[in-house]
Amino acid sequence: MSNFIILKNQRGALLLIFVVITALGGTIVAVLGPQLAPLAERVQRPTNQAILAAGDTSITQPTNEEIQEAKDLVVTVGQLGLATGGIINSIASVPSGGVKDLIGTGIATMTDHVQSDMVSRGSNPVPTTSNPLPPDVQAPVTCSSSSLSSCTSRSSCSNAGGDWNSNNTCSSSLVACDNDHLYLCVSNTCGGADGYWYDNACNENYILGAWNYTGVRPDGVERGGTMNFSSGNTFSYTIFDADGQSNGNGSGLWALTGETLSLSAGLAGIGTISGDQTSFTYDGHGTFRFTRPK
Amino acid sequence: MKLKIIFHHAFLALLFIMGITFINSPALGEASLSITANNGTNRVLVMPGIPVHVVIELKPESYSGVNADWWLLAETQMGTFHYDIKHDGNWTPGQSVTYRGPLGNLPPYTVLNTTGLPAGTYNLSFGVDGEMNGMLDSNAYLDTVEITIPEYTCPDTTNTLDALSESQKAFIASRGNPDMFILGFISEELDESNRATYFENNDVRRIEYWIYNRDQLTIATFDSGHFIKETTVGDSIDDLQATQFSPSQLSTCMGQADIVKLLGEPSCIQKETLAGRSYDYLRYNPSVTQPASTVVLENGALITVLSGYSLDLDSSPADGNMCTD
Repeated sequence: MSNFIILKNQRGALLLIFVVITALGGTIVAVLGPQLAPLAERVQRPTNQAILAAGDTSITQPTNEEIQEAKDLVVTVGQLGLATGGIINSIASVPSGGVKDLIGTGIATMTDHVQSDMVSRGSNPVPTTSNPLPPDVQAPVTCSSSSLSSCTSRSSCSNAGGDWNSNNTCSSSLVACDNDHLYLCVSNTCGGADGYWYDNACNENYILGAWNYTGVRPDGVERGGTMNFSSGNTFSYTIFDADGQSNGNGSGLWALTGETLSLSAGLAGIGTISGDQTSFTYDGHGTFRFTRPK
Repeated sequence: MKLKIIFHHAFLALLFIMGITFINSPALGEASLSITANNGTNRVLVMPGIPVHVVIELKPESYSGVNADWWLLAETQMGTFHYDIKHDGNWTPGQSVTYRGPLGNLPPYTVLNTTGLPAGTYNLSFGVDGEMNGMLDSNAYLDTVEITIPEYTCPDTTNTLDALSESQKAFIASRGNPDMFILGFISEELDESNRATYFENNDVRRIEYWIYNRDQLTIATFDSGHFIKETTVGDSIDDLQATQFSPSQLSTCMGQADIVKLLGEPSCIQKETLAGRSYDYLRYNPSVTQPASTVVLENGALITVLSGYSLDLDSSPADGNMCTD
């Protein structure tokens, strides 16, 4: 069974890094001293009230007591770190030097960085860019025209000159005819993609173009006519009823979502369609069979 | 803030103001009152999503029984509010006295416990004055805690790398998570006048040290996500138990509940109050299933994590208990 021990460094200062980080904030506050908020400042204080004066925010120099508190803070926090280090030191089975020194050196390096740099914005401004990454770390790939696959949004993809695909990926607009790029298909077979050829282009749905239809109205009266669905979601129609009720022609808007076809005029209503680009059945306000004109 | 009676003449002046006459000089006691936010005094930074817990306490000592006005006020960007005990302790707009009556011991008492306050600075003051007239008099003793809630978008740390920079993502893509890491959040600095101040725009600086134990032991330094440098400190270490945690799982918006949810219940919690701030050290002793970790919370908010510093050795003894001291 394996045993687990804590790594040791030379002075048990393994946790010094967070000790320092912790101490930084604490030290700063300790040096600053107690503050009274504006509300308290509005209170006019007798000048002989030393207690309140000690908390006056106009006093910028820390008192000896506060300085001592700051020193105590570092010591105390250090002791907390040493508490863990004490455990480390108690492990007799860890050989001296070697591993312990390696970690100790590393921690010391980090500690130096924090201690020397982190307390003043003048000496250590927040960096704005990364330095060159190590050779074995591949540079972060950013969205660009040469790396469209790194684009993670439609807008960034578009800005990089790519096409945003339905599967939330970005690819070059130079891709071949496929289901995501039907407009690139140039043959009347749609290049094998799941599209429908109409008006010299491959389209996503099959209803575009001219149709004849026959069927019955909801009241059972026979109705027939023609319809021509255009790619701009408009259509024109003619109607011939057996009883002449709605004979005439007109135009309207259509929308197809999945198998649900909505028509705003003529056979106005919402219904389902089933079929293909040669014929389909519309079951909406009545039932009608659509076929291509001879 | 302890109100230590330091100078005898000041004390006598105080008694005079409070309308108390002593023929003989009384024993000089020590009275104190305090208001804390998340156990911190003076200035407390509370990240979005972390509860704000404000507690007051009064120990009048020799002033016990003295009639006084009790004040509990909050200055906010929405105006001044007072704690209204007549209305179930609601915070009510306006500056009014909270209570008029004799001083007495008030053990720690919660006056605000909430999450989701709008970003901004809230100055909450608790105090008393010795003239029971409903006016905030010049002899008032007030302790104030300044609570700052920054405008800060907390990154998603659940199954994403959103908390990391592109450089750090590149490290993980190329090398995987570090075997050991030290992560610290710093929100303050000394300005040109050597006074403590929050970073501009209340930013939080994220300092990270990622240790990789590969062909060599290396330490990569990141400052606010930016890669600074990588230092090789020696050959690789056998049996270094890699942490199963990732820096991507941690953000400064996490409190103790979030840490426990991620790392489980700690082996122990060591508490310390330093310079008016409360520090909780959540110690995770190493085990067969996880290496050692230490998480430090300052006033309830995550400030430091050190994870992955234990060896898997077959030798004994194996005292990995960090909770003994």
